[in-house]
Amino acid sequence: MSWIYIQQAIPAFINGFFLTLKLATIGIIGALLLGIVVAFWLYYQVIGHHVLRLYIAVSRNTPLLIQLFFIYYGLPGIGLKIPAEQTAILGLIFLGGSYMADAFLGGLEAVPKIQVESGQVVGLSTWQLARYVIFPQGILYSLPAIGANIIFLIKETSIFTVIAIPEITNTALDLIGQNYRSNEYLLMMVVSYAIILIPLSLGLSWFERRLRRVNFSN
Amino acid sequence: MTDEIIQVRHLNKKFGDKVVLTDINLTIPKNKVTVVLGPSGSGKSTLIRTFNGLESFDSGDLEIFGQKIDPHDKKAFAVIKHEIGMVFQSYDLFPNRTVMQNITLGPLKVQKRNEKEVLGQARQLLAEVGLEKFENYYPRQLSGGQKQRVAIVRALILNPKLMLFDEVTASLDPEMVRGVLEILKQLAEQDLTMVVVTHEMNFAKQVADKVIFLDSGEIVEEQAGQKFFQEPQTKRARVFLESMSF
Amino acid sequence: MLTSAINLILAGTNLSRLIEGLGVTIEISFLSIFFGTILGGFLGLLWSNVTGVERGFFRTYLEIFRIVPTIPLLFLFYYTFPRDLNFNLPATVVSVLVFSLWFGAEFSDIVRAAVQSVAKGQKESAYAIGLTTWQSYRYVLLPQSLVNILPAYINLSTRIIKTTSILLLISVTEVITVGQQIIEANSSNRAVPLVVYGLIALFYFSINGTLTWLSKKIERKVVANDR
Repeated sequence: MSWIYIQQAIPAFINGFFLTLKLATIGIIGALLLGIVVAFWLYYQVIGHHVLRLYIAVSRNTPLLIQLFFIYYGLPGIGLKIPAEQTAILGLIFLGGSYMADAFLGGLEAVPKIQVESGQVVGLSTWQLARYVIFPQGILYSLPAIGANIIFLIKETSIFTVIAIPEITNTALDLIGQNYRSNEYLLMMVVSYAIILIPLSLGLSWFERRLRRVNFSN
Repeated sequence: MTDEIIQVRHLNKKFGDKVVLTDINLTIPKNKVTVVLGPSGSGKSTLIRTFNGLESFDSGDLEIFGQKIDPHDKKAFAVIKHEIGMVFQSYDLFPNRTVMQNITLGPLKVQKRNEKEVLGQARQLLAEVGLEKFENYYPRQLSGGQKQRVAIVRALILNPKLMLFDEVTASLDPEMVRGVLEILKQLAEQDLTMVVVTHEMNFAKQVADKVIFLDSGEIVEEQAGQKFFQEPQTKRARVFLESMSF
Repeated sequence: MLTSAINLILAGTNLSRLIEGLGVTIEISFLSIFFGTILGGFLGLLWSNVTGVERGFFRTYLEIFRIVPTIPLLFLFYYTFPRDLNFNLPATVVSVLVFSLWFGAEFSDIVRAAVQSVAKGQKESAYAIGLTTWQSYRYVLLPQSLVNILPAYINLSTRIIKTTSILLLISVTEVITVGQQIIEANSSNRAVPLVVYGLIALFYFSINGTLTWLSKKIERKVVANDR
């Protein structure tokens, strides 16, 4: 372990850190939005929900790495060229969308039937029912799963290295290749992820505990 | 004294800061029915659960079958616990096993008895509780009252020296209660040593040889059965009896 | 272009090479699941029955494998440990080792949660009829948790299978590495990557899709049984 190597690598890791953070944030927000749409679509069984089931199946059952390769190296074959960073974000949204959809759908389905029926009895329209009854409660039920998905998706960003995006993992692997030292760079890599993931993981479990208390109290 | 199956002296128990049993002194007579009465939360269940080691206690003496129990020894009950049968409020049959498999698990695996003999006894006991046709059913196919009768058989087949009943009718539908109480009465007549926690006052009156009345974790009265119901000695017991008979 | 690319992949040994690579993927996945099951099952059973400091130990093991992404783990076992501790393991063995440890960590948590979720009354009943701890696991707790474990277990297996895709980073000749070789050898046809990666995606989809379908089926049966 040598300090010099660590010191010299700090700027590169800071860049990588913020790139990871940026791509993860955009990708996760995109995945959340896509997930909400897909979940409601499936919940109300709107036309075309079979296609969405297929999307979820493909997204969940293939590795992100292959999804990225397909977009980045495959699609140009039919004339569709997408730059690396956009590919990364697109890939994360494609992957995360299905996980988030499942999380939301689980939450929506966990809303007790009696709640929906009570809403209908007082004369709420379908839209009002969704807006005031199903969505606010469903999102509470789905929060633990969403939290787990966020952590999972952040970890998945390390796969971006395979399309040469200089995020945290790529920075480390590059430096390992250049300098033939692994200890320092692997350590810095793990620390970089830990800086994001540990506070997030602690925050989420704190949030979940709080939520459970709120839920039990009524 | 040989005719006392349990002796408790100065027993105390806390859950965290909360005192649940305070300075308990009592004896459980052999071949008799002891009924434990008291308001909800008075510590009745906790008390009888210390008799088979499901609950530990903090201080005091507990002597079962003449053997002293060390409250800090987790294995203290290992040798005697299958001689103490227990039936719970929520029956807790094993859902992955049929009625017959529920009943025979203890005698076959714990007592290592002969399978043919065990099956014979199981069928006889099932017949006594009117369930001879149900031996291959799974618990989910039975009613609450039927499940509770199976749970009783599951405990009895171990030929226990002592039976503990913890509010066994409390979660049954009213029409199921009588059948289960009838079985308990029959057992009482067979001179089985029983400790019964119940809220069924008529039943208690009929079977109790002895009553232990508990309130807020303390024994308020320890009394012969008939005497307790006819002339309770304390105000708290009188208030309790009045509140239970309307 | 696309048709010629498809023909190209179907011609010669390309397809059989891809399937061979898929074999390596499956082999590593299978071995990792096998060893991870033994490790995780054992740890999970222990974990379900301990408190205090021992519980902290299990938690730490689990959290390390949850927090650290798989790529640094793989590199740690592939580059760092062999050099620092002076031993040498083939890349496939390292992969199985890392994935087994990972699978074991996640699986132990599944086992613990499932055993602990069996109603308290079941444990007490088992105790009341005199069963030993081991007997109550054997006859009461385990059989009841098994149906709850299966869907999560299969789900975890599909995750392992997907994660094997990163093995191309440490020169294991699994299916994606083979795909890259084929693409390189046919670089004149620009549609080849689309076909190759599409095909590999289909491979993963068939395996994991079948497993997912199976777990959903079991889950439905479990729910039906509970009623």
